[in-house]
Amino acid sequence: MAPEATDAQLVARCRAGDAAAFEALVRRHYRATYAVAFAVMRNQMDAEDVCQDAMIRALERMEECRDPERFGAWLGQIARRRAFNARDARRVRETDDLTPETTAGADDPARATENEELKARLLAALDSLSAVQRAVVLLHDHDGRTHREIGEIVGCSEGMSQQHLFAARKLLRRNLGDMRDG
Amino acid sequence: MDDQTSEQTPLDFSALGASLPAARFDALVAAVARRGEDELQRRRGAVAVVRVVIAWRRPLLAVSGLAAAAAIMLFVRAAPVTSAIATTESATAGSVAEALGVPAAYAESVEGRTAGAATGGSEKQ
Repeated sequence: MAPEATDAQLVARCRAGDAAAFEALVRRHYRATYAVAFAVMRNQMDAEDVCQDAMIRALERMEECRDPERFGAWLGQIARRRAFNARDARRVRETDDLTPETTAGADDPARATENEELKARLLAALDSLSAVQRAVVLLHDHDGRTHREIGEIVGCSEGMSQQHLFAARKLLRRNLGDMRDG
Repeated sequence: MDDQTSEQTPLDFSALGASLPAARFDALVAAVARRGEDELQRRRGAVAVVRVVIAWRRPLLAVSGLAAAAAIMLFVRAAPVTSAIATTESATAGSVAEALGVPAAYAESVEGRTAGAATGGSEKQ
């Protein structure tokens, strides 16, 4: 079995216009980039838009990636900046588009309702965190990133990333517990 | 669960819809790839130009050498023009004497006396 290409190899091929290399980079880093975008936008559709924009932007400016081995962190920084810009310029949506998760539960309305309630509670609890704490806890607990990678994406040290994670978890559990009790 | 344990235990965010089911993930990746195609094509075009130049480097160098050689030859051939200019100057002097109405033979004898005086010799016999 051929070893997987490294980020540096894929970036070099992307710079030459290799579509397969670009798709491989997208597959490898989409979820983490999405988590970063979601932490800021807190909306699936907006997070997807920001994530896509960030990846295209990264492709257009591929030569500016000074350390191709850390392409993921560089991409995360782009996504974070674009998310903040998009959040500032965001128009209020009057209706929410149906998400696949919502339609998937259409056969079981009770389950769909329960999912929606849990989602609403999680979103409300996440609102109590700072943007950095949200990004850290999503990147770590949802996407499985290391503190070193998270630090490079959000712009903090590994130690600070750990502190943000512990603080975020504590605050979320407290808020979720309050909601359950309340 | 005490505080320390709760801080170290990951949270479950699957309900947020941030987990991206496989089919949705594939569709999103394909959408990004489609959007990136223009930029990728531009990059491939730029690489193609460089490759053509590299592939044709020997013929290009040969043509450049020939052009340089032709330029040098033209420059060398232009050198006899300087002697032509000297001939023109003497012809111009003769022409001046004629223009002044001095017969050419007399002009030549005057020039001969002048040259002799300059060298200290005498024309008298």
